[in-house]
Amino acid sequence: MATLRVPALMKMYIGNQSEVTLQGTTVAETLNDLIFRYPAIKFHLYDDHGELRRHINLFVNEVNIKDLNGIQTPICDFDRLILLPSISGG
Amino acid sequence: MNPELSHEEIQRYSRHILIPDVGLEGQRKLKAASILVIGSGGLGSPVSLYLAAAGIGHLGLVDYDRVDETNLQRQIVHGSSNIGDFKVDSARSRLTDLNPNIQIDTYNTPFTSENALGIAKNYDILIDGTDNFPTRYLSNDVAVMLGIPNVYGSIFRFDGQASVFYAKKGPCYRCLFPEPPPPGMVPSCGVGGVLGVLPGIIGTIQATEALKLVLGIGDPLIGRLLLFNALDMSFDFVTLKKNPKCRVCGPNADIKELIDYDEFCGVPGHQHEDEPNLANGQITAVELEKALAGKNPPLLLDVREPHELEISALTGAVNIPLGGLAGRLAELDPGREMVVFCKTGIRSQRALDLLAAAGFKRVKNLKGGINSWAEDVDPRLPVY
Repeated sequence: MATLRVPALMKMYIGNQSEVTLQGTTVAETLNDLIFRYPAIKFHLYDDHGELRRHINLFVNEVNIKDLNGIQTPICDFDRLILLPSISGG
Repeated sequence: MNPELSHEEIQRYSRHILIPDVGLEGQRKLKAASILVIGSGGLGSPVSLYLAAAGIGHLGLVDYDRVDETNLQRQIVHGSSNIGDFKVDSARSRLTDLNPNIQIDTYNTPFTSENALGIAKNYDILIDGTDNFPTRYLSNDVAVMLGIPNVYGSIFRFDGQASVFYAKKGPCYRCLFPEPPPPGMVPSCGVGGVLGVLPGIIGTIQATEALKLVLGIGDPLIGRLLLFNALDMSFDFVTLKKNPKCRVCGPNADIKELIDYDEFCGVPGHQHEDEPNLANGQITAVELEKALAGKNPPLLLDVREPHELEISALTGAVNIPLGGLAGRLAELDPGREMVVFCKTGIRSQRALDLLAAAGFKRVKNLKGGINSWAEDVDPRLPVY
């Protein structure tokens, strides 16, 4: 079981939580578990082509999955994932 | 050669000079430095106050906006007596009072592709204190093209981000975010709200990073991004790497000059919250009142966030926040006449554009939003 940290921007789609525990052996499986449990977040993660939206970054233990193996990056128990969208407020 | 300090300056900055890592030479570096603060709002307020107090010799301030009452909950460089004044004038007055020894240049204009390089070329460091995506991409690209650091901060509700994007030594903003979000998906603070102290925390971190860069001490946030959450009081760090495919700082960069950032982001960078982009399909509050009393009243679609309904609401309106609208179109009847509204008419205009693109042809936008309804039709509702 890994934990996923969700930003203020998106927590309304997962029951107003900022952290959720998920199952899966890869990032893709973990996100599938997230979407299965909270379908409303899917639109905010994936574009019409099923790709992770370009303004969204996902980090596994502080490393961007773009610098690992993308959504096929393996996930182990106790891994910490962070969802990072761009925000513009100033 | 860095400039000498007067006796008065040595006294003023004595608490800096006492730090061995700073000393007299460090304070001279601060006096010799030029920093451009883009935006005199939530982030720009603490940044400019602390940089002025620290003795940065040359500060530039860019903003085109005027101070209004809703700014004062967080934009602490301005005061109640400044309401209606240009922000750069209000800020300069406060900063000059704080430290009369420094030079402050103000640019009372939008920061645009046309003027950005000309303004920024006079500075060593940029501070991104803007509040919109077009100006963030513009600030990044300017910093990359001039080869200077861009000290980044961004806030939303209880969340803050900070980093130092410096393409000579690490990634730039585009390496992390190659593209902006689809228009309307990520609300601004003017729409989504922000805790007043949050820009104080993130802006102070930006000021700290700028001072470290000038002094050449410590470990700057180059290649690292700080994620702050005020509710959990958590500070997380993630590692950032240069993107080899980055269009502005990568080895095969194809963006060599500034572009049209409003077009790139699909939204205007310089638009007042209270000045919606008027387009076809507008309906005024008075016209809507008549339509609702008619035989076939339109469906009211409220695209504000659920908690805004506690401030004011229209009876019978369906609430689908703008951020989730694209995923919930199936809940709406394309054949029915519809009036979409939000607080002031900006989000609802984006909703109208989205609905029109999805084939909804009988949609109108309530001009001025529910605030206009409160002013012109039902004064029992508050304006917010």
